[in-house]
Amino acid sequence: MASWAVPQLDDWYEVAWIDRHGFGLASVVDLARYNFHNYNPRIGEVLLLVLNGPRILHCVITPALQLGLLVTCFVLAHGAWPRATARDLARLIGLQALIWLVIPIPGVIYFYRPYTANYLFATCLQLSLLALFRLALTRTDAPRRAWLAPITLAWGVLAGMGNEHTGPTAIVAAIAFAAWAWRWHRARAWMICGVIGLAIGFALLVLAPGQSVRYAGLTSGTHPFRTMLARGIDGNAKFLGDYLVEVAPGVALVLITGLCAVARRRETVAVLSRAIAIRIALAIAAAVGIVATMFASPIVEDRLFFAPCVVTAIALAMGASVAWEEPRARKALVAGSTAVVVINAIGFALTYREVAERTQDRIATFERTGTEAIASVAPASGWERDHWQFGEDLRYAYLRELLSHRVFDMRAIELAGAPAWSQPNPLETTHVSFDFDPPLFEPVSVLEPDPPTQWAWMVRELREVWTELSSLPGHELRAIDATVTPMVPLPGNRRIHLVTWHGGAFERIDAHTRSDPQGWPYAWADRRQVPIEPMEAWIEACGRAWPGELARTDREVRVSIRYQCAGNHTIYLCDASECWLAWRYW
Amino acid sequence: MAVLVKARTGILVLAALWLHFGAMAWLFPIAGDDWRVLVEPLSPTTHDALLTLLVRLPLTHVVLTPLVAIALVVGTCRLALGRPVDAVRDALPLAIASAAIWLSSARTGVDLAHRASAVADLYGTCGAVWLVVALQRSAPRWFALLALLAGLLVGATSREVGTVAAIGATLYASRRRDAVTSAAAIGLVIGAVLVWTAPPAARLDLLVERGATRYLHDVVFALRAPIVVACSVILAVLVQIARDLRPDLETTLAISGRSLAFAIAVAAVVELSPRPDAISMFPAGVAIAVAATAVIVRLAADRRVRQVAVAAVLLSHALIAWRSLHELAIAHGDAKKRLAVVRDTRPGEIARVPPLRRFRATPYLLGEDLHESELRDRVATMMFGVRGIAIEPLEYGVEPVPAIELRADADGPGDAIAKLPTWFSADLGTARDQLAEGFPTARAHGLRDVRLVARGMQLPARTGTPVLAAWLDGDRIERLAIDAYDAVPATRYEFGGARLCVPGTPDEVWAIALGVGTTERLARVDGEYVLPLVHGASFAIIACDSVRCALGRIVSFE
Repeated sequence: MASWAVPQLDDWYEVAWIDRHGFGLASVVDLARYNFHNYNPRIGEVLLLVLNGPRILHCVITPALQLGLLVTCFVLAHGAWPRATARDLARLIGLQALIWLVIPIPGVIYFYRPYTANYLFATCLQLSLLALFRLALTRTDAPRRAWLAPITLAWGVLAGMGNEHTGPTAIVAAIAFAAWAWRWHRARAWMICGVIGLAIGFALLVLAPGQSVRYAGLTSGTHPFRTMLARGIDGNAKFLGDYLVEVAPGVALVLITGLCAVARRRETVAVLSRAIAIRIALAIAAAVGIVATMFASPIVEDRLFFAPCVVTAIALAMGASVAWEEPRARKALVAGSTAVVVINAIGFALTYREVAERTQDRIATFERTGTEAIASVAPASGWERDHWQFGEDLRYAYLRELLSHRVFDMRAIELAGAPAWSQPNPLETTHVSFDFDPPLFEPVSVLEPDPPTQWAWMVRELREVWTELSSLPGHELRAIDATVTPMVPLPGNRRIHLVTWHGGAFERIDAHTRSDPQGWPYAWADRRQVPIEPMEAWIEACGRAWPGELARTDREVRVSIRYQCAGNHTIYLCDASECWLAWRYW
Repeated sequence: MAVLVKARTGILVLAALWLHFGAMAWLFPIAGDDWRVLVEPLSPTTHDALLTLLVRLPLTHVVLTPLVAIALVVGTCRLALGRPVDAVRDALPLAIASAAIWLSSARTGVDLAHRASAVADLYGTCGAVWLVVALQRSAPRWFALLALLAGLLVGATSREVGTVAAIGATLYASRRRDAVTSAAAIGLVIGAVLVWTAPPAARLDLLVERGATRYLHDVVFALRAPIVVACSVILAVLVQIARDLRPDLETTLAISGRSLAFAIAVAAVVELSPRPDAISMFPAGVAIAVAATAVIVRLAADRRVRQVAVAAVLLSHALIAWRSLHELAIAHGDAKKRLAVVRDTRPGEIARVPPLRRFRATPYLLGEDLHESELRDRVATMMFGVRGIAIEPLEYGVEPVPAIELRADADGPGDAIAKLPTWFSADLGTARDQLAEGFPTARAHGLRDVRLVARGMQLPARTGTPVLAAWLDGDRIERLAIDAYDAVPATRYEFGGARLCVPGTPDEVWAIALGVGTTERLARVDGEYVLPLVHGASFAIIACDSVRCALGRIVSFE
């Protein structure tokens, strides 16, 4: 499966990085440093670069991680390493089936490298540290192993840098393990080091400068507590509901086989001892704790439910002990689990063979396309993300732009037939000018031609070349102005900014959408972050420009979203002297 | 006095529930499918007969529906306890059953108070619950006839309840082998077959279209509310075991297993429907409510759990009562305001009504029920004698009143033409019905020919050929009806536009942009015509053959 892997969506950024910086320890460290300061500081992002390096690395590391997660879950569920017995093989199959039943989008998490690196790897790191605690606590005579202390410290730091939403729960779980060990006089130095490492790693992750600028600066200026309050009881409860929906198939499998076991032999219920019930309840509490942490997250998507769902699979594996005690129920559980594993394995193989073929064909097309030509490729048949695969990654205009300008050398990429679910290519052209002191008369070459048309990518590319920009001998960078030229000129012949930089800070309009009481969507931006006091709004689309409905509240600037045709609609906010590109919709 | 109150608590619980259900039924305005029985021909089904009764006689709904809801709560409690409910002493089990029913469905308020939903979900589920209760008892042979009839009624209520109940009863009858159970099973099977063969047809090919994993995911997602309740109950059991207070749940095993199977089976059948989102999972929720009540009542033998259960049911009922009545009072007021505007509009004109303050669906409200012009403008004409109803300002996802004007182009003496309507509805089907209604009288006065012409509509390729919304064929007024998918209120234009099913074999199909006048000939793809998406635009879809050009549909995009 790993050998079939082809770049998809976020992989392309790593491919572009390797194209530009080469692949080696130095470029990996450079990326880690860049990410820490300017982008996603998670440890998984660094692994992602490695996985996009020589194929052999991906073929070795990824399967090892996938199996490592299974073994880790086994250890946490049963308090022992799996042995080479038929019973443990069946338990491993049962556990793998439970994992694939309860996690969201298993095909994407396991075989789309950005998610594998950011979620599967990160969860594996954190759970494996906790598995060490679990193994130690099952023995009353666990050796001291002082040499383990620096290892768990480093391990903890890496694990703490895994995911923002899992860190707090992992720290609490590790503290709980250590406290329990202390209570029963089994505490070891490496346990304390593991806890400290986790806390340091988590602190590094959340306090990294990159956090305030990644996700297009979405996290900046919004306190997590305010995010949680803004969602309200209903909004946050929905995440709990989503989590329960994800784990429901696994719960149903364990519940039905358990009920069958008890119905056939009443005494099997005694297997669910107080100790197991406590462990299950604690695992569920940990899973719910992770979900609760997501209440404060600015973006909550299905992939974030991976960690709580894996923890729930561990709880379910413990709960399956009831079915395990009755022969018929055990057979049903093993048969059902085997079916789940086989169906998924075959499905993944078929799906990713097709994805690989499609992507290889596309790459061949892109390589054949000339510099000034537009490559047109057929859209994927299943364009939506589902159980098996990511779907059509070229539906995003920014990715097509990245591929055509930064990875391959062509004018643009289009999806044949311009499907309505895909954003059309923006028609504006972008220009970037740099103001140096003393002025620089030679054009600056560090930024490549065809600057991005979306501000988030413009900022990202500028940050990437920041060292070159700020270290031109004898010249000091004073300001940057990225402007756009729309297809249809706006009245007043005003300069239209996309991004500016001066006084050490970037300026842009970071707009979002929501609906008014009648359900009509509108774009809005925080007034404090809008560089001008807008007096008018313009919408450009369908070969013309017309005034948009602009409204202002104490905190926000709003522009109604209305459609005139099927293409891109671009919203501009203007005052008397200048305009800013605020939002695109289609 | 305290003893008296305690002894009467069960009665008080039922009385409070009845008051709440009654207030909801009274406040819930006529909405959604309620309108259909007022403006469309009735089908000879118990569903339509009962719905007509509830819609035409509002007091019936206010009295009958709350009683059925109470019967459902009592029936749920009866199944959960495995014994008859003591209305005096079983206050807590009744309150738990009620709370479990409320929480196990995503839109319980609508299912309990909206007339069409109540007939489809509440009445059918209540019938199924009490049929199960009845079948648990032994009865004399002559009861078989009643069981057959009851089975038939329950089996015919809805596809999901009928199918799952028929399968369950057949399995039960094969084990029990008595006349009454067998008769009930036969009745259920006949009822379920009747529902499966009735329109709209179930589309089993949806399973292939969606793919197995998406279908299964949809089934699970549809069951999200029952899942939350079931998981909460499992957690409560785990906590009790962790507290070393092993509850005696042996008696609940069978009912839990059956309830779980029933809920999953109901969802599996519902997801075979072309529009599963329009169908409630209420029966599945009630099944889980039965299991949840059974387990919690046994857990409540522990004092701590009992205290938590009492607090939880009191809190949940208080919150539900407040929110449901608050939202329904707003909806009631809005509906009254709209009706007043429509009634004040002169015949043949467009009534301009305000938008609803709660236009989104909630667990207690349908939200905007008149988003489709086809139903809204038909209601306008048939019920209130106006040409259409325009919602101003327009809510998102609501079709505007089609910008078309129809006139009767007749051939015959003046007094015959005078018998025809002077204005026609904005809805094409209703306009045809108006013409068909006036036609016999006009014909008796010597009318030779008549056709309904769309004013100002012209196709460039057929200059001089009028576009007809209806025409005379022998003694019948005919029209072309084109089905459209993925237009308003769809929000995902997966196919890049609307798919149109045009009956017959037209030579060409055209779309005219209303208000703009541009025309486009549509391409045929896989047996359907595709109208490309143009946001904010409305199109008249016209099919032409050698005889005529017929206006078959208005399609609007958001």
